[in-house]
Amino acid sequence: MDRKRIVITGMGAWSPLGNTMEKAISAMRSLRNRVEAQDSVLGGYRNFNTRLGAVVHEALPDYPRKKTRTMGRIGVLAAAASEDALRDAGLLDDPVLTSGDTGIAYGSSGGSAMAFSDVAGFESNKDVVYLKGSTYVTMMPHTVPVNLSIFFGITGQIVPTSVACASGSMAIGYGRDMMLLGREKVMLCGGAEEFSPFSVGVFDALFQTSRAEDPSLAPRPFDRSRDGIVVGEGAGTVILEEYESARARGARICAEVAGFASTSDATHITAPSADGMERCMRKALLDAGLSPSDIGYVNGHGTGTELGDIAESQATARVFGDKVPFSAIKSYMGHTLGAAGALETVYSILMQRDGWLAPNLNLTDPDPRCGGLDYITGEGRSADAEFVMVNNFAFGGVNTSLILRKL
Amino acid sequence: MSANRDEVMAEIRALLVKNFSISEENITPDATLKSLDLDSIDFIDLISELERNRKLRFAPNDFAGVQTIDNVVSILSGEAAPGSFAPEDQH
Repeated sequence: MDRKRIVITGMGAWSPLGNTMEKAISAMRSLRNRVEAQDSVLGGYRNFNTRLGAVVHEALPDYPRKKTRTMGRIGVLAAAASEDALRDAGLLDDPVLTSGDTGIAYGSSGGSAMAFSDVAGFESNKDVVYLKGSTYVTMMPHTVPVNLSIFFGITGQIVPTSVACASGSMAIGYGRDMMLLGREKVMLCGGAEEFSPFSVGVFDALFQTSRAEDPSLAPRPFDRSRDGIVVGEGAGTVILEEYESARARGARICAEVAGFASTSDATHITAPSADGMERCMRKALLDAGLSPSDIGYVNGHGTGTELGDIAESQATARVFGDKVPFSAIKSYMGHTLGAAGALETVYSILMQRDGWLAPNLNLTDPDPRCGGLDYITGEGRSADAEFVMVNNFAFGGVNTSLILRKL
Repeated sequence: MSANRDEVMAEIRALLVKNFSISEENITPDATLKSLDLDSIDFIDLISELERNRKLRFAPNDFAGVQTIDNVVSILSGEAAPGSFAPEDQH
């Protein structure tokens, strides 16, 4: 029997590129990044190597306190993107959400930094009065999906996918798998992240943040003179449904999730492995029943770190050779960590739909140690890509590859 | 834990406005926790803030059974004994 087809019927994205699809496309077509000096946030801390970041500028929705009290900024971003996605799918306030047949697969690097100060007070003062009733539930690994479930009244299963920088793509992949298993009629999937001194500090401590003075020149993935990550924030959500039932209810279909795979490197906690990445891409192709030549565009992870860029581009070249168009959206909005996989999936679908592939910003001199790929540069490229692959790679050696088909 | 009753009321009012987005005009002595939409997690967070301000830890039963803002103020100001609002079987 043929496998069920799982499609995306709604999308929502809040990121440094804006909070609507129109703003995001316009931001990419402007060929300018949305990175800025974040002195007002980072300036109060000593010894940061970087001063850069990319944040969401739109005001967050004014949700009632009771709904947001254990969310923090990360949860509110996720709720806003999810509300947009459900509205886009025509399912906001639909009874299917509360029927028990809608689930949530969602992840983030962690909870809200709002709760970390409670823990810091607890530890530095050795005093439990610093812990509040809401401290743990605001920082627990699955805080975002459970807050979404309460917010929307979604009563199916929760699939937490908090695997750092692959959280959002893992959510879409595992959400797809749950749909294939017939566990749910609808899955709300995505990832979120909030910009905080801590999220920047994590990478700064590893000497992985960009020290560029000019925000317009960072990050610059795959370029010989790249110098590291710019941390971003945002949330991306997609709504998954089975193809036939989506058609039957007249839903607009954004794309089909045609393939997914995840692998683990099992080598090093932070250093990526080209072997693990290559296996992931090949497994996703196998899952989709496709050949490398079927893929018309690869949206890379492209963090702008030396080890990451080299490993990823070499792995991609091993699978696809030098013919597949390749670019990375992080050159526009920085690394949105837990949100990255979901946001980059949404933006890849927009590019696929519009037949225009965004170029890598700031890529003028590809690092010769990187794999020989068809790096899109300049003004971008017109292309009709029926299938695109979106790759994300996370600390811990967690790799994901999604394949999206234009319908 | 005795303190001036008005000062305690002002402290609680400020916390409820700042941390719980409750309108100041609704925070009267007779207002119940329920009417202010404060559930158990909220109340624990309120008590945690009061503990931090005082640098002390309340006993688990000190605020058992409190219903109104006035009940809370009474305990904090020393007018009522800690735990005095608890149901009989919790004393």
